[in-house]
Amino acid sequence: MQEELEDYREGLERLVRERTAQLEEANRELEAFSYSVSHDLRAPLRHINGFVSLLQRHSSGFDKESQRYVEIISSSTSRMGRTELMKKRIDVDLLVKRVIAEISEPEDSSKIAWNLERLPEVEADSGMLRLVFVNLISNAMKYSRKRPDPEIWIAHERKDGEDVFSVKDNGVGFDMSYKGRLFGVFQRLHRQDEFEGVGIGLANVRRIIMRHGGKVWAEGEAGKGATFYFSLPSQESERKHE
Amino acid sequence: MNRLGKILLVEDDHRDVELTMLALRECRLVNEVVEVNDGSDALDFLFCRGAFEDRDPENPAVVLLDLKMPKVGGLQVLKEIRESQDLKRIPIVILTSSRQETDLIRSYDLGVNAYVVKPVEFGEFMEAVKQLGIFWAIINEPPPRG
Repeated sequence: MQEELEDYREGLERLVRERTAQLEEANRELEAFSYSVSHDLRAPLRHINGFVSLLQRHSSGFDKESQRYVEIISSSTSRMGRTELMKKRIDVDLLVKRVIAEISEPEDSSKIAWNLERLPEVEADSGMLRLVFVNLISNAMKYSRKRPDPEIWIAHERKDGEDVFSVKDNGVGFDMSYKGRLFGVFQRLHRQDEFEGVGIGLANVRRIIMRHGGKVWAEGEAGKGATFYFSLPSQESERKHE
Repeated sequence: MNRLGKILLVEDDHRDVELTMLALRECRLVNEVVEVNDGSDALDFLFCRGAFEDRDPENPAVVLLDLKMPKVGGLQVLKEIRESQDLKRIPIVILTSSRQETDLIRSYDLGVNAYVVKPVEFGEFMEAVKQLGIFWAIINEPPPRG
């Protein structure tokens, strides 16, 4: 009996070691993959950025519209290439309205009922915070698209020295038992033919918010919609730490 | 002060060559910039062989060396330079897109003099190359002639 237990325990330990090794291997592969993706993107990005900047040196001869195109290319590439946080005061209200205007198709805007609370100003990297809202809002739109009466709520609450933002929809929702997987890289809870996507949006949201010193979480129920929350340390509490 | 030695630029991507050359031109260095587009041409140049058999045999003041190149990569070039009695003291600057830890470690182990990751943003890229050019071509005291 004692011996059997001992064997059993050893078997389990071996299994744990094997699984840990497999996980570590998978993690290394993922890191190598994301490294090579970012490396492969950096060179062409540098070239676009470089030659657009050179083009801008000649832009006095361009008409207004061409100048505007060149400016758009230039600002988009610099938005892509940046990796360090550049924090400044941002009017989140304006940012969210712009994001909605940018990502909605004409047929969405008439169909979706938007409930927007007045949102405050925060201290954050505007390009990154914009990405967070693009991801959360386009997810809300995507997963409520099949409802006859899609509705999206965007709200804010100041709580325990933090600004908590939420994006809620009445779409397909998710089973709370999967909530741990929502923010993982390449994790998807829906089939590709149901809802398109590669599964890195929420992982990016999590990384961006963590780099700002905040948290992300979600609540949902299958068939009844989902709410995604993120918090940012508010300015008052940051000042106390300084 | 430097004796206006050549700058050897080893870079396979012609777009990076163009941007780098432009930055070097803008800092008005009088030093001649020699461009080669892969590691094996770099070695031919440095060892005065092949197409470079008849070149003026003075070593360059600095080599700006890309890592990822076809045929012979930057690390191999660096290794052969450091193993050569005649070339081993030439200042070598890695100029690359790679921030990968293994590349950094290998380069420093092989005795690189500087390691610069090409900035993505144009202004920063130009600034980085200009500073490299001015430092290695003008401010740095090169090794004595062998």
